[in-house]
Amino acid sequence: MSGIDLINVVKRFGALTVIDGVDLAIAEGEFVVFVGPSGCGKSTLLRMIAGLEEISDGELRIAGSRMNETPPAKRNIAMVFQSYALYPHMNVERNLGFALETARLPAAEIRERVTKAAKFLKIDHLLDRRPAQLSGGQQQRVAIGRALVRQQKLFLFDEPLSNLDADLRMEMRVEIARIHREVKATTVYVTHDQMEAMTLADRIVVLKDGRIAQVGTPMELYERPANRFVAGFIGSPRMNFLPGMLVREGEESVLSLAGGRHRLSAHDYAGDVSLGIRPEDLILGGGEATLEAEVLLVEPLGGESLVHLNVGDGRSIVAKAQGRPEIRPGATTVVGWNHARAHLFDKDERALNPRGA
Amino acid sequence: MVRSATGRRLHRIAIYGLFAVVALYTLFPFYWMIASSLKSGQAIFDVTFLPDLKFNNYEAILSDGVFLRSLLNSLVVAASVVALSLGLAIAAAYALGRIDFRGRSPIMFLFLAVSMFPQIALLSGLFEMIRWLGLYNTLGSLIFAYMIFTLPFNIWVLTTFMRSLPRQIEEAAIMDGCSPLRIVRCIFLPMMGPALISTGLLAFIASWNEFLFALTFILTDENRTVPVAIALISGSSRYEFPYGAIMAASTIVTVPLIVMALLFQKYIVSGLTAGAVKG
Repeated sequence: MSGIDLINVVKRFGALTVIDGVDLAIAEGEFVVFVGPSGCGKSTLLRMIAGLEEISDGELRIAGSRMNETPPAKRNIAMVFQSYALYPHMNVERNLGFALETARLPAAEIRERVTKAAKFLKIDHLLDRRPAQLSGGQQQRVAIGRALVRQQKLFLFDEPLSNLDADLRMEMRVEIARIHREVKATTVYVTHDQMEAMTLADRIVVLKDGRIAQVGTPMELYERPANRFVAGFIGSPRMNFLPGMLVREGEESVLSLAGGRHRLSAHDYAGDVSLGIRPEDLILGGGEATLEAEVLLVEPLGGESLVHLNVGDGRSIVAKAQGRPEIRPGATTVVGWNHARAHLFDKDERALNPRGA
Repeated sequence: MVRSATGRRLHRIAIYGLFAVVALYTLFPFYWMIASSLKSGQAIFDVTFLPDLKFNNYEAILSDGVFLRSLLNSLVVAASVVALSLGLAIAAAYALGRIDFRGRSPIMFLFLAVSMFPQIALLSGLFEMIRWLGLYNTLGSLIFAYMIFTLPFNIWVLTTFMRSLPRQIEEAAIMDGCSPLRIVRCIFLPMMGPALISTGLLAFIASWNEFLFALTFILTDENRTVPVAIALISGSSRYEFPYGAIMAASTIVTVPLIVMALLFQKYIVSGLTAGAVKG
């Protein structure tokens, strides 16, 4: 058993509360990604699990035992840092074996484990190089290898790909997914990139201001965001939001937007709302509900295009269209959506569901 | 900047001219010392710029047991000061640079304040301490006294250097199961090479050249260090002042410093600036 349990965990720096009561259970072998904007506390939370930050309140359990007071080295955790944190004066082989050397393992076993990890990560031809002689991607592999050789049940990644360029990032993302598949260690991964979160995670934890905004599988978060923050954070380009008013009329609710009124199934809530629709759910020229729109700009991306539109009272939204639609900036068109793909949020930014749903 | 061809030439002449003046200013005393050491007898009082290449001053000084003994003493003192002050400064720098505790910056300023006192102000107090510790007229008294000015400087430089080392490397070592001692020994020390060399070298030079403490705390010839020994070289009669011998001795004493400075010059600069500029 090597799951992680966070029970009402709090972190304060002086008067400032950075982590404000986080409850989370991570199952053995699960790949969990902490994601959120900078300053949301995701790295702090990871460092608390690692033991690099003290826990101000609450409890951390690893494999069922309380770990709050356990020093980092005794928590059986391997960690990969954003800056790789390789030891610059040691060659790759010693970098990989240093933890085992510290643990006084026999030299033969260190050699064996280092060779195995290096082969697994395809860096076995670099063993006698220094970190400064490696490319960013190779340094990253060494950093991961250093975690691998320790054969721990628990892996922590702190924004490991953010120093790499786009191509390498994709390559290493695939690599990390492969490692997780083969090693099956419980993994906690911190990133600000929602794309990494979506592709890697079994479950995503979206953090905002030191609290959990939502926990769920990538598709749950995408399909059913619990609040406006998660809705805007997951998905790219981000979800469009239009302000409106929801009024109850008999067995139906009516949503009034700046460009028209739309009948919906009955909601318990009435009042100010925002309507959220993802760019890929907007339909040019159709849909169950429609708005008049003026085309501002068409950005062709090859297989698809982003169409920037002006709707209602001068609010701009983005629609994703397949191929290259035959419209020009300045033209007037109709943009629509299907009600099942629309999200409603109340004035406290919580997601609204129709009665009975 | 765009200049005409003559302008460029004038510019270059001006720069080399300035170099020449600075070089003359700094190197002439050394040249004079070496040139004088190579003259014998009365020739030393003639103003000639070319040396005679006579080595009898060196023969005389190198056959002088007291001088050789003082060379050895200086070496022992300077090496001990370097070893002790680096050892203590590394430990202090780890604490001051890496561990958060209350009163860290007052301590740093205290170190700075200590190094600001002129030597002469410390002399009588130090004398009492040395007598009380039973170190009077031993090399230990000098090692003890020199640490007063080498330690604060070493601690300052090493602390700023230690602070500039990436924190994530230390954290990686913590996750790898290293104790603080192992972090300092296996991770920080190798990374601090340039800073250690430059601070060590400066501590060596300061102790090697020190005169006032060496004159005060040492009574007998066999415990003297080189600067005092040179000052006390006397001629065969009270009317003869042995300039030649003094110059030869000074030259011998300067050579190791120059050799060391040349050997390590590349580290000295990078060591002293590494702490100052982040990244």
